[in-house]
Amino acid sequence: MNQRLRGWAVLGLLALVLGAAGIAGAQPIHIEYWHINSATFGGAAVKEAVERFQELNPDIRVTDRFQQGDYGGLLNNLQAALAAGNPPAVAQIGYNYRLFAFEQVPHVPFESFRDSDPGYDEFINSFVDGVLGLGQDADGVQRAIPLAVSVPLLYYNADLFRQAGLDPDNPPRTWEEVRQAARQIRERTGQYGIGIQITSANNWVPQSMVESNGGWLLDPEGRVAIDSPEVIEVYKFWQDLAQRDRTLPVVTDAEQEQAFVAGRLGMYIKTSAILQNFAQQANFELRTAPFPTWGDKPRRVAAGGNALFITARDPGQQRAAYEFIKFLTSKEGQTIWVKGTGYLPIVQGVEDDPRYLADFFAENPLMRAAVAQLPDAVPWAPFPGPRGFEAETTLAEAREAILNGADVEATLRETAAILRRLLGQ
Amino acid sequence: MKAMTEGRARRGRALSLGAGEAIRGYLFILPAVVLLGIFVYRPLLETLRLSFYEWNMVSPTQTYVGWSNYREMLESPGVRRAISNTAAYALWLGALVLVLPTIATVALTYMRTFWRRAFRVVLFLPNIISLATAGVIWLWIYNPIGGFLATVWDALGKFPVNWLSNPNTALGAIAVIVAWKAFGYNFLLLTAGLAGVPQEVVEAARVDGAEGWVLWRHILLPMLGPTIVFVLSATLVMAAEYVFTPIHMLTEGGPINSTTNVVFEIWRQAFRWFRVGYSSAIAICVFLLFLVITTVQMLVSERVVSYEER
Repeated sequence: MNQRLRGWAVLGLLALVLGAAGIAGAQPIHIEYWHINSATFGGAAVKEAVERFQELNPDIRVTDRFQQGDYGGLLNNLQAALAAGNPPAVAQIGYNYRLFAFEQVPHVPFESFRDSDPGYDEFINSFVDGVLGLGQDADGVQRAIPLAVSVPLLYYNADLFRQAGLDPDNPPRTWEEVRQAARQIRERTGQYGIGIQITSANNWVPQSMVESNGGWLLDPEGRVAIDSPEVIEVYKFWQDLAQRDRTLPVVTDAEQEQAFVAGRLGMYIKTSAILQNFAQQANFELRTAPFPTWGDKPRRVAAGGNALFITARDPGQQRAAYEFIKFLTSKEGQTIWVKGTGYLPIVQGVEDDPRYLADFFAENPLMRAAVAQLPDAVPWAPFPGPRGFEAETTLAEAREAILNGADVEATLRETAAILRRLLGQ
Repeated sequence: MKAMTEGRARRGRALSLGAGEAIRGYLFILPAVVLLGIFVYRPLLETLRLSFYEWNMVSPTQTYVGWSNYREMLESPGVRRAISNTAAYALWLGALVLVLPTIATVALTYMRTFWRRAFRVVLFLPNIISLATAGVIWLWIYNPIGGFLATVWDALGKFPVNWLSNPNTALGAIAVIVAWKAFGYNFLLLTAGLAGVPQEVVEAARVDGAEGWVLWRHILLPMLGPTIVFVLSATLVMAAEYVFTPIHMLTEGGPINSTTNVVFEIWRQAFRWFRVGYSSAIAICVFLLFLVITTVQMLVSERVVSYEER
């Protein structure tokens, strides 16, 4: 351990010396930016933002590096880079990993630049209400800055709607309407009616479904609540779509996505972040509607996405990273980002401003359903503690069992017991 | 007694090398020893050490927990599942990439040269495709919504099977992807092994009246023994390691843990759930398990390979 620390210290000194030499020689500072935006998932927007930032800051060079395997993969690579003493300057951390990162990933809190930057307060006040909380720890320290906020959306194939005798101008608003529409699509066109985004790594969409039904996966005190009637009702409904109606295919998420883009799935509940990609790929009339509600109960959608952490160790790079993050979340940076992805704008005054996103929103009605849901956004609640990630997968496995026909109540009861053990309750 | 001692001493002297020669010998093996030390044995020892700790990969503190990781593993249904699944993968792959290629090798010997060559190319081709690419290809084949298999099923009037999402079919579906890729390589090995059988032995057997099944049973297959044993060990490695890529890409170990295996479990514990110590404990046990299997395999192959020239 001691040796490792010494190694780090030596590397840190070396970086410091090199950094200082860099400043002395008026060399540009090089920083690395790690992200999960592949070519089909906002990659072009990252490149555009980096180029614009370099135009504005000729003394800083940014290398953007795409990381495989979503937020989990990025975090693994970051851990390896940290252990090797060679972390990037800026890294995207998925909100589901934020509690872990606050405590465990060595980083410079964004807030620590407050005193050295006169523009700090103005920058902090530019965000939409509530968003900054996604980068704050339990004590309210602003450790990271949210970059991306997405919400689950109802995507639908207007051509299939028409073939099924449904009105594409009146998409389903409640889950019951979704169910009816899905049945009609199945009966009239033979195609599957509805898909719901799934993964074994987390429970992002289930959280939105459950909280919209007045229940919790974890209640506000953090206690496991997946065996409550509201949760059982949601999973029973989901199972009925799959097993009773046979309108929801029991397949992997990649397969649902393929099927939807190929025009073989009527509706698809999926992150808004993939909107621009769907819009380019679909060879049918793609439309979007807000996430469905349960009757008259209020909609609650978990905010997905990521926050930017400063993980550089050299002070010069830290400063450059700070400036880069400020640009990515400036009005100009957000304009590039939102246009290229489907994430929601998180700074005030860009939606209606013709210099920024006003024209884009006017031409892209698909975004409206997403933006309309921003007031309904609630924090994505990751399962806490050292066994939290395992608990997430355990709940995802319960969903797999349920969709394959297992008894809903019994499965959720058993799973709740396991989760309580994993979370130490 | 005295003579024996003298004899041994003489032999010892005759075999021992001069100091310079010995040093040169050590120098020759030094690069290999250093590289193996750095990249194999040091990580192995580090894994052994970590298996007694609790650590999440980034935290500066590693907590010593004694044997508790090992105790937890013995009681874990997830680990039991991973081990039994690995055995299931081995059985699937044994059938698909050991038995089938052997049959294909035999069948090809009865074909005309042109067709034999054509089939060799066709059967080998999938091997040059990476497993990641194979995963994507098979996603299209398996997709119950408009995928290739579903279209065939549909034409036969059957309801499509959710190959990758049904706990009863997912493991076999993953094994088929690996087999599809590995088939050609094993086939090539077996074909080469068969070509290496000395013609005079075959001729001699023919003179003695061995034909058809008798020739295969008593001459050709036994002489293929070493190759078959090698292919068998490679198959076990596939069951543990190769299947990781399609599991990771297509099923993430699901549905309901039905496709996980030992390597995926080790990876998931360490890199998804950040339980490095526990993951290391599983890794150490898997290492020991494979050490035993490999040793047994070597002992068995000593016997099977008895036809080989010595």
